[in-house]
Amino acid sequence: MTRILIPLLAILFGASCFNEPDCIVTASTTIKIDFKQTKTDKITLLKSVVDSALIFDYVKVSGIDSSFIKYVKDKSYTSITLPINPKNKTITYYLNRRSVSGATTRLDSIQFSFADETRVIAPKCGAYTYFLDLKVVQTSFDATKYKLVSTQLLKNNTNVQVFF
Amino acid sequence: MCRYFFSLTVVFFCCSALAQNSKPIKIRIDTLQNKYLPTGIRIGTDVLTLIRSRDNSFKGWEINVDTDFYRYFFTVDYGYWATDQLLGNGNYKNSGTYLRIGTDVNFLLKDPDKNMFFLGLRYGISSFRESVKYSNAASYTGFGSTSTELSNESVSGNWIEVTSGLRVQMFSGFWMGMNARLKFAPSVSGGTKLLPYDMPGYGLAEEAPYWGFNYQLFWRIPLPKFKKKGASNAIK
Repeated sequence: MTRILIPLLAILFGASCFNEPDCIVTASTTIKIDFKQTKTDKITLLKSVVDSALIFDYVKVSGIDSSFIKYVKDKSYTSITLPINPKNKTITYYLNRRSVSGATTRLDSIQFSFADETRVIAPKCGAYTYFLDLKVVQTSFDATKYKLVSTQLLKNNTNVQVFF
Repeated sequence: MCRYFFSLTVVFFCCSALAQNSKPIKIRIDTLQNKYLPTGIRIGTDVLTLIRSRDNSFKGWEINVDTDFYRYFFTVDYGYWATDQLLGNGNYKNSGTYLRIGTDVNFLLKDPDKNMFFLGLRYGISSFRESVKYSNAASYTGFGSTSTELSNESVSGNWIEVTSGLRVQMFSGFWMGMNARLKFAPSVSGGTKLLPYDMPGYGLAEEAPYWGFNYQLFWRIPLPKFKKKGASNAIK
């Protein structure tokens, strides 16, 4: 029995590999806002949510002096991804929309608060701050006109839907 | 006279034949008695942990003790684990101790060399501290990069593991063993803004299941044999 077990021990020793963690970093320092509208089918009367394309005169972010998004002719947005300042716990966005004709503009604002936690992903990837617990602190949008979809700031992740 | 002598001889042989058929007195010894009493204590260490300690990023040791109760082995592992890992964007350190308690079931009970192939179950607990220092760049360059320094001063955790392996007697009193551990159901408490990362005795706290391996050397100290009270318990 010993003659069988010793080589088996050697094989198992060689198979002693270590668990290598995956280097997938999903942390993000941006908030993604999608613009939506509700449409009702005239025949079936079923309601569906579709993208809404908005034209912005400008979009400003608190802490950044210049406009983050500036008006570009014929450029519309169905979603915008705006940065947060990792050193602060709140951020305010100012969205100045313009009508299709460009005759009128409307300024809306939305302020978010968030918390953070640190995760070590893997030695070669490093450690990252993950932002979570996203909340709308105050906004000019009606409470029924926006929806917090995800409270975590992750890559390719929509956080808020605003309905027009 | 001759007739009487012949008759007596026949009677004698008949009695002898009958005597041959009568059951002799048997003494049955209760072989199960005392089998659950331990016969020795094995004290060992994990060689893989010692080899890993040659690297500057890891320091650790582990002591393994087991004792037999028939085919069951009560096992206790106690160890120390400290890492100093260079991250892609900083540095992570931890240090702490861990304890594993459990039982192995030996499936090579009749092996004359007392080699073991076993399956076992362990409950592990760990107590450690950890710290991290790193910097992240914000997505908007105007916000600059943030430098963060965090620590968890007192974290405790526990887990369960299923173990399997071999223990082979190399020569009298000296054993070598290989142990594979499938660790699962990790739970940590005491973490702050830094999520507990590397739990001594377990590994990456967020990973489950998690594999672990040990390559152990054991020395066996035999315990004095208990006298079997076979005679007093004999069934006549």
